[in-house]
Amino acid sequence: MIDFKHVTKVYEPKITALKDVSVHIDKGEFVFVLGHSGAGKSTFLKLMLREEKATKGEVIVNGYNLSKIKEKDIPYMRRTLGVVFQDFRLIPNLTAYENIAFAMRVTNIDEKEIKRRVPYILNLVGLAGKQDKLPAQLSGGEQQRVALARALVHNPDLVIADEPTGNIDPQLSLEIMELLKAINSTGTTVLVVTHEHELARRYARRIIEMRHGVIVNDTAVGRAGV
Amino acid sequence: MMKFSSFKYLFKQGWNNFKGNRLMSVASVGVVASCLILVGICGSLVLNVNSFVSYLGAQNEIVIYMKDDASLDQVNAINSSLENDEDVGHFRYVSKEDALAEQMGYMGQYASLLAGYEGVNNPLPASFRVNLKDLTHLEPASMRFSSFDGVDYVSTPTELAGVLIALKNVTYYAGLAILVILFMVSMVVISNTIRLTVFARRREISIMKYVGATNGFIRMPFIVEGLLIGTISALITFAVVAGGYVYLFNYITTQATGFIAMLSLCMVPFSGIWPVMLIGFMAFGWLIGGLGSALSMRKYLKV
Repeated sequence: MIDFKHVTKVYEPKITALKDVSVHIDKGEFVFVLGHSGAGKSTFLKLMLREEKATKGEVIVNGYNLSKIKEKDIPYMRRTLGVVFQDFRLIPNLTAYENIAFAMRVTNIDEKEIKRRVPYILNLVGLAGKQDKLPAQLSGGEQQRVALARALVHNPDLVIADEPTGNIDPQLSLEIMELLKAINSTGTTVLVVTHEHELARRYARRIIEMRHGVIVNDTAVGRAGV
Repeated sequence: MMKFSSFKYLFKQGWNNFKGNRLMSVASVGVVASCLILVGICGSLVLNVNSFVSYLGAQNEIVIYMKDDASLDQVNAINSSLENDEDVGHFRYVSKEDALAEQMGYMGQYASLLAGYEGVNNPLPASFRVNLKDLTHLEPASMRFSSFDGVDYVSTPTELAGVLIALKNVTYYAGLAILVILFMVSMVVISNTIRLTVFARRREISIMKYVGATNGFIRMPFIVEGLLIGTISALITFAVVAGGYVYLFNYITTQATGFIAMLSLCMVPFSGIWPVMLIGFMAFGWLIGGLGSALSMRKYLKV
């Protein structure tokens, strides 16, 4: 599913964001990547999305070797995963329905399939009836649900959530986490990148802790450090 | 393979970009159309100078004067050489008698002065009057003709030909230089307009990248926008240049006097150039539209 093999990332001139990181995440896991700012979480994420390329080592995601992948194959690799960001990244002038449909249209899916699938996913994330609302008319939690729905349109094997609760209040954070848990229970791998230790301890079955570009702790809940 | 609904979606997006960015779109159509109008004027000028040069060239002939004692075989040999010569457009043989009759014709009422020069007293030489297809081949052709047996000398309008060729070259290269400059200017203008749309939609572009849209798909609406600007500019230009050309053509052929009236003999009629004009403007518009948008997209596709 996700394999980092001795990965080092250096940003020019000489900032080492990740140092010889090796980690393996299996299908169906619910993993938290924890760390303060500057720990290397964002770089870890960028390497998985192939926004950045590893300076050394190999990154393999959903069977794609991202160190060797051709430019033209990157979009197809990204369709195998769904991403949720802290700032939701919704298009402000599109309704909830259109924001989700947008992700399908731009990947060449026909209208019939869009009309069938979008209401289904909106229902799945608990937004049935809010499909015609613009992002500004929705609460932070609801906007994050739209973003989550959008991440699910391609039925991904892996959902990556970057600080998904960073912009919403604690009660709604728990709702989002419950939703991610429900998604994980269907067999989808969920990887949450966050700095909120409390949230991680409450939900994670595995916590990967990063500091200064290295993994300092990789703990499976209920087991000793791995 | 892209689905029809995707095509429809992309074209709609391109049209929305064009409309959404209305002020800049109109401004770029204005600038690109202005550039294209200048290109059109240059093109029409080059075309007509070429036609003028060809016309004047056709009026000037190489005259191959035969020796008085040239045999019939030699005349026939030259005749067949000219028939097979690739540079020769057309030619005619003027015998001694024809030359005299021609002179008498020029002298009109004074033709009787030439009475007595007929037959063996005729001092005028027989000749071949040759028009070349291309004036630039004047000198080698002239040298070739001089080497034919039975030829006395060859009269060649070298100086005039030089002037005409120079004129043709100057208009051609000046036209080309102007075309290249205007092409660049138009491309920068279109590229900047589209860069504004791209900038305004950078958030959508980054989302498209994350959900797995291909670069071709992301680029398409912006290319459609560029092509739209190019097409509208080309059509406006065609209307303006065609209108101006027809007006000028009608004026020169019906109203003008003196030297300008002479131009009507060689001015290319509109019916002969409009397809080239339309295709040229469209090609120019589409090329700068397509290239301009592709260039402005490069930075934002790197996500």
